[in-house]
This record gives sequence, structure tokens and C-alpha cells, in this order.
Amino acid sequence: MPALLQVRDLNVALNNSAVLSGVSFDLEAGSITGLFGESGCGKTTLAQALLNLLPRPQYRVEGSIEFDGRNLLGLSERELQPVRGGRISLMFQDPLLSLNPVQRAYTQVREVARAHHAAAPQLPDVRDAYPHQLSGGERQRVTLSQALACNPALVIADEPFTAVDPARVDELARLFRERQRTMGTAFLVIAHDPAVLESLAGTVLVMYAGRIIERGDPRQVFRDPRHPYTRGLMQCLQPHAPGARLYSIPGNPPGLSARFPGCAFEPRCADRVDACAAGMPAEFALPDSRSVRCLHYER
Amino acid sequence: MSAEPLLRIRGLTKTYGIRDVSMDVAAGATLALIGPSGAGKSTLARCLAGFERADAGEILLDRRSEWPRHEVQMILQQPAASLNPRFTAEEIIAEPLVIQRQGNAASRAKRARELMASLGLDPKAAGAPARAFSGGERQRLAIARALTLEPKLLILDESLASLDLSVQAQIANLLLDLQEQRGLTYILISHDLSLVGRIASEIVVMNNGSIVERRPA
Repeated sequence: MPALLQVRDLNVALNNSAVLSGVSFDLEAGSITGLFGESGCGKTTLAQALLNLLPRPQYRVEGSIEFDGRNLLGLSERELQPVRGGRISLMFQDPLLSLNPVQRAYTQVREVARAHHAAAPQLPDVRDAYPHQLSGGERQRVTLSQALACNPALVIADEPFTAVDPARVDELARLFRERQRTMGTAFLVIAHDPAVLESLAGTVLVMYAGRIIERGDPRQVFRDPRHPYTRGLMQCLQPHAPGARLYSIPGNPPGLSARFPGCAFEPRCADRVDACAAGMPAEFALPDSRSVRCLHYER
Repeated sequence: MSAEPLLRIRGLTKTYGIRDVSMDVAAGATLALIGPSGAGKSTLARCLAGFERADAGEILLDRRSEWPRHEVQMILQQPAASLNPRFTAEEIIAEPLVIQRQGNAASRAKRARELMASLGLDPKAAGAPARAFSGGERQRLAIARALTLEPKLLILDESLASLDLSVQAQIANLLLDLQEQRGLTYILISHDLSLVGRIASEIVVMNNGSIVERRPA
């Protein structure tokens, strides 16, 4: 059976600067996949590209995004309307910005269902509240209800766990898993906290500078990272001696205008060799369906 | 470090927020305030920053019950919402100086660029509007703005939450450096216990508007 969503060689450029390069992955029906990386690495652009939301002509989008046997990049706005919010829904990072401040919670959830001729779901305890009357966790539940209103096959959640308290993180993760189990909904969860992805996702894709640089089971990827970038990130989380400084990867992620003939992490990498700057390494397969885009793993 | 705490809070109460909160915070400390949503952490922070007035109780900063407002700065959770998207980076960072009538245009611009550089932002981007920066960069702008007036107490309300791990570590290190250099005191509100464990010197746990536990980190 083909995967629910198949992304092949997706390239996105903003005003001729590459934002995503050669991104390929599959999302299976009913799977939870994590998308992990630093800001500016292209996670949100990828989420928007999957729904063909990137405005043209500023953005140039190439490649294919196969969903339900159709390439979403080839569909018209009219053909995309039932897909967006109906079959694939997007949960934005900041509920306070994505909810309408002057409409009650239930009205906003019902609006989504109406647009897709679906029955409006229940929203028991917070239905008559306005967004400002709700706590962060409650707002998050409203946006999740919106995302799930039409029983989509795939929910893309952009940083749903950021600045949410641990009890709410657990609750939200539980809601995701419950939905996955009962309705077979697939989730693509963008996060920068390895702990929550480890407990939630079956696969994690690590991105750097618009490319997937490592993928595999999150427990393996985060506990035994192979790419020097993933290793560096995990080292940032190590406890340190009192008064000592935290480990931080030297330098900053490259800006959009930066162009690299070789590996984009090379300027910051502790393990670099001359060949790293010469050409972009391919993705090398590792055991346990893992892969890593680093020359050191070339066989 | 003097024996007198920088911040002394006694019996602070705010309806629907906090109940009879008392604590001292030593100068140069990093106090983490943790607890579930609705525990009163942000209400306490807003009272300290002067955004809200408590119904009862007392707050003393350096033994004063009133202090110049810029001595306590707060950095909010949502960088996108806390910066004027049409201001340039330089205007955002220099605005507190303009409001306080400090320096001239040239010295303010210089100060803004210095702060950008020290926070890992490219000073060449000083003329770019806030909306041109990424989420992490905007939060650095917000921190730069809070540091402009050299506050004594900096309240970080989930300010590092939206940052990437390596950037979070950079900013945490920067905050530790600034603390060493200037004797800054931090109150860090965070749900991220791993971050709290890495940078706090003391942890205060709040629930239902009250302090329920306090211990060294």
C-alpha cells in the first residue's frame, strides 16, 4: 500500500534563495512523525508547502507531494479547498494568534466543520468562552478541535508543545495518540523538544538548513545521534557543573542567502574534513531504517 | 553579595492570582518559578514588573517600595506579539533610550548595534523590520531591548521556550555572563524543567496562587 503522503525531491526557494532542498519522505496512515530542527531550518515552510500554501511567485516550489493519489502541487485552489482543513489540517504554533479574538470557541470550531459540510464536534467545557478567557492549554485544545473537526487523514501540528506546561504537554500528546489509535489519524509534529518527540513519534526527521540530515526512530536518533549536528543539539541538553557554561554549537544556522556547495553544517562542524565543503553528502543508510546525511558514514 | 536581598516580597495577594506570597530573592540569583498553568506565576511576575497592582502585601526592591520602572524588565513569551513588526531592529532596541531621553541618535544606534552583536544578531540587520527576523531572532531582539536600560531584575516569562536548543544554550550562557558582569538577578518562569535544572540557582514551586515549595536547584 502506498504511503498516505509521499514527498519527493521537494525544493522551495524564496526569491531565489533555497529554503528547502531535496526533501523526500513518506508519512504512513496512522503514523506520528516528528520534524525536529532549529528555527530557520525550514520546518514551517515545509508544513505550509505540504498544503500548497506558499504564495507565488515569491516562492518557487518544485518536486511532488502525492496525497490520495494526486500531486497537491498540481491542484488548483478550488481543488485544494476540500483538502485543506478537510483531509489535511494544520495546527498553528500560537493559538492566540490563530484564533479569532471576537468569536466564541465553539463558533470557530463549527466554522471549520461548516466549510467542509461536516458535523460540528463537541467542545464541552470551553464552548462559550472567548479565546482571551481561556488558558494556553485550553486554547490549544480549541485549535486541536478545529484541526480534527473534519476528521482529517493527516494533522500537521506546528510547535504545539512550545511553552505549554508539562501536564498539558502530556494531555495534548495523549489526545494525539488517542486520535491516532481510534481514528487512524496521522500526525506530523514539528517540535524542538526531543523528550516529547521521543515519547510520541515513531519516526523523526532532523532538518538543518532546509535539508533532512538524519532520520530514524526518535529513541535511537536522540540517544545515539549520528550526525554531528544532532549530536551537538543533544549535547546542549547535558547537565553542567554549577557556574560552568552550557554547551552550545559554535556559530549560527546559516541565513537564507547563504549558499553551500558542500554540507551546510560544515562551517560549524567539529568533525569536518576538506571533502565536506566540496559536495553535498548523500543520505547514507544505517541499520534499523535510519539514515544520515554526513560524509563520515559513506561506505 | 549583600545580606539584604534585592527583592523582598511580603504577603502579596492579588484576587484571582496569588495568595499571601512571601519570598526573598538575593542579588545575583537565578530563581526559577515553576508550577502548572494558572498557578499564579505570571500574575506574580506582572505585579513585580508593575503591570498590575497587588491587592495586599508589599514588594521591596533594594529596600524601596517604589523604584524607577526600568529597573525591573520583563521579557514575554511571544516575541511575535511583543515587538512592533514595523519597527526596525534598531528602533526596537533603542526605543527605551528614547523614552528615557538617554543619549543622542548616534549613541543610541551604536548601543543598539552593540547589543545586537552581543546577542548573536548581525548588526548589519539593524535596519530590517522585526517581521523579517525568525522567531528565535525576535526573542533575542526582545532580550536586547530589555537589557538596553541595564535593569537590576530581569523577569523571563517563558522567554527561552520558543528558542532552539543551541540558541537557548547561547542565550542562557549570555544571561549567565551578564549576571556575572553586572550582578543581574533573574526570575525565570518556565515549564522546561531541564532548562531550569541547567541554569537556576533556586527553584520555587507555585500552585493555586501560593508557594508550595522552595529549594536550591
